[in-house]
Amino acid sequence: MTDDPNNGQPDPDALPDPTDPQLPAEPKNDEVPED
Amino acid sequence: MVVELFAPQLVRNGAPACTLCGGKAMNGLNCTCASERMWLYRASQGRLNVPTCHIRDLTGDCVGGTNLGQMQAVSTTYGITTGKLYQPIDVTQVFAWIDTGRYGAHLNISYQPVAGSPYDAFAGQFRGNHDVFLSNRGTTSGAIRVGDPGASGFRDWPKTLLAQAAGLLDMGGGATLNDEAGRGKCYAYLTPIDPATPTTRYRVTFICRTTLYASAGGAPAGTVTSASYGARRTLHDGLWWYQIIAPGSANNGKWFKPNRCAKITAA
Repeated sequence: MTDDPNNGQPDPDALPDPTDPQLPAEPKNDEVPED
Repeated sequence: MVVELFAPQLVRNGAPACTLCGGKAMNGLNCTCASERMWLYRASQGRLNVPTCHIRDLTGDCVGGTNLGQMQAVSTTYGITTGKLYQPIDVTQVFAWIDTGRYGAHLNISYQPVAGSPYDAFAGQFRGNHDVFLSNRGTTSGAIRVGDPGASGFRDWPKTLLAQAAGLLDMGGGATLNDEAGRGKCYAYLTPIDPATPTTRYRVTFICRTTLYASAGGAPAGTVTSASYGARRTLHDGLWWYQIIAPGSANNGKWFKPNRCAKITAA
């Protein structure tokens, strides 16, 4: 038997949407050394 | 149970060589892509195990490293659109979500404060921007279980170190994220929430020898030949695994794969 642990309600752990302002920068990762 | 897969980026850690873009070796540039492999595995609850090199290929980017916006586009390629990309958000909020055990996350960091610490995977040779995967709460309240693609497996990192490294992210032009957004912020890309813990229970009766494992997909941890236990199941790497629930038994918490010796019924 499988129960709905939230009893049909929204999950209390649900994430909020990102809020403005979001920063425009999208920094990339750098190259790491192999050894 | 958290569904997780560790993905290394470097050949020395077992990742296959990634050569793209006309023969260019990409492994050293692929930490964000390796973290995305861990992210997709978690977000899909074990259904997607996408090679790191293929993730890099999907970005179509042959220049330098990659970023979280590109990973969001890769996730969309696989139909996963409910992850949340925060640029920025309070790092303590991200830790709180990870502590619930129901999310994983990319976390952009600078390796500057990590270099030379016990958590350094590059022997002091790297201090640039990096990306790690946060898989779960750590074994202590001050730690997070981290998949650093430069390392060889998951490991607990102090939250204080993660927060410091997140704030020092190099945003270009000599500015850090601390400079751009104030202290205590981070760039993070959260997985969709894990399904609520299933309450389905099973009954298993072993009628001949079955190997038990320490974890789903883990090392062998003995055998059982004749016994009956409660059990629950979870998806691991695309296969169902069952965990014995039998408090007081030496086999409590051990795992097994469905087989002809294990007669399983819904409890």
